[in-house]
Amino acid sequence: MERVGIIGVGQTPFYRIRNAKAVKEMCFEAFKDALDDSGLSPEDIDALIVCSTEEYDKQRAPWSAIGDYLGMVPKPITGVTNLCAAGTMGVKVAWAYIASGLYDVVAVVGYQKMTELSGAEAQERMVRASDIIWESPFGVGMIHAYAFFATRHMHEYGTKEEHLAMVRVKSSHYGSYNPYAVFREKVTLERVLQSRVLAWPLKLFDCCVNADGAACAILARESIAKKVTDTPIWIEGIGVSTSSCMLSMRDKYITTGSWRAAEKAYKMAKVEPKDIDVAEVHDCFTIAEIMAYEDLGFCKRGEGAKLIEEGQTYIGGKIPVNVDGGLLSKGHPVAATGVSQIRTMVLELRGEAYKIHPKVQVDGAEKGLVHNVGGTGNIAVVMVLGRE
Amino acid sequence: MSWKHFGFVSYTTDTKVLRFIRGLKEGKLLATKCKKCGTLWFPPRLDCSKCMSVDNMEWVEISGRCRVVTYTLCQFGPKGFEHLVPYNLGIVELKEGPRVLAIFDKEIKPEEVKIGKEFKLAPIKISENKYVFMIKRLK
Repeated sequence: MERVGIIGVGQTPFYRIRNAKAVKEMCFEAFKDALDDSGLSPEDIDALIVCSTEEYDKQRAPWSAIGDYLGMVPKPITGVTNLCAAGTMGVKVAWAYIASGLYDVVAVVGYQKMTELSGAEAQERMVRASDIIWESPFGVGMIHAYAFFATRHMHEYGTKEEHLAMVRVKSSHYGSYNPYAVFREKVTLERVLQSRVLAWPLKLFDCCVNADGAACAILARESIAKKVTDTPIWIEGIGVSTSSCMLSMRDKYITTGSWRAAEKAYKMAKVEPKDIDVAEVHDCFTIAEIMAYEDLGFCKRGEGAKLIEEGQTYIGGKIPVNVDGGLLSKGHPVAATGVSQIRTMVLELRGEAYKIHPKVQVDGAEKGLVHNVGGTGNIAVVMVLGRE
Repeated sequence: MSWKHFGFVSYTTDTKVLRFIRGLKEGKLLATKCKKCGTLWFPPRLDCSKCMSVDNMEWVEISGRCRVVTYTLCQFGPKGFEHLVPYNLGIVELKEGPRVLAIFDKEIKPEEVKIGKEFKLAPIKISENKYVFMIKRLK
């Protein structure tokens, strides 16, 4: 079987407030950026995948309207939805399309325009990601579920609110370098700890914010990838896991369950956690990043707090994580997020992260990992990427 | 009777377990027990994913005795729940085994909420024709 490589990546800035661009216009911008990056033209694309968490859309069948605007009609267009993991799920579908021999070159566009809705409307939809019969009627949003995880993690492993805050401090350090990030201001530990409590132990600065934006990745079969670029980034491992929608049915409250996805991805790529040089993890809340360290095997279970306390996830540490600022600083345009993580990782592995900022390049990185979680672990996608 | 009678905000109407709401009305917490494989389900369901039997459950009353597995103290409520703020949510493990997500009684102070602490899950009436279960003090 031929390998599948990523040969082009692109992204719009992420916006916290309305930016006077329509969904399809943001998608065009990301698609064009990725085409320019790959050197391909639209005729070279065999199929398009459009990722969205569609309950945030006004446009029905957005893949059709976007495909049309991108000039992809009448080519095959697939809509992919999968909560906050829609972007990497789209990349996975593209991988499967190419690995099966169906298509040679596939473009994946992920986007969200959270300002299509009011904050209250968006929250109402997030509550409905819980079980609508038994759990949504108690007003359980994403933040409450991650607060459950934080409380339990603190109880079992002695993790403290200060450790959660350290994740945000690191995020803001790298976010300050990322011109596409929503938050570019460095914050102190005190400021994070003093921010308003929303769902204890989580405070305002423990949470990422909704954002608008789009990102694009172009994938091709090996023979084509090698012709198009000297630095294709190979998809070496993919793992997907699910956890129950009913929070009451979870086996543990110190994990999103994404360790199952990680195990599969490592096995397929024939690597171990220690082989990973740089990682992008789904830090929708600060506790999510600490759990990700453990789920991905960057430290032992229960030692995530120690890892951030020792600064091991900064560049120069054992495993640099979210050196583009992550969701906490970039903002979270739901289905764009996974594709944006892929973009950062491709730039890191090519040695081109200077396109974000010279200070965020992990020198000599050969293996990278992307961890994208939908909902509260309802779905998780882990990918191992590598360069030759 | 419809599912609109359950919870602070209801999102749907139809389910095969409406008997559960009648139970709340009668002051009972009802679980279902699969007649084929014996699995106890709470929250109740009439389809058993352990043995794939359909509509083959008996309704059984449970004690409500429970311990806190994890919790959060909410200073913010999503749309439809603003009026409840501040409120506390927990996942509790029932004496009979299953876990359930619920809200703590307002009388319980944040400092009383601890992992492992015993409480009682009890049916309550929220308003005319609106019922829910709530985590309450033991006595």
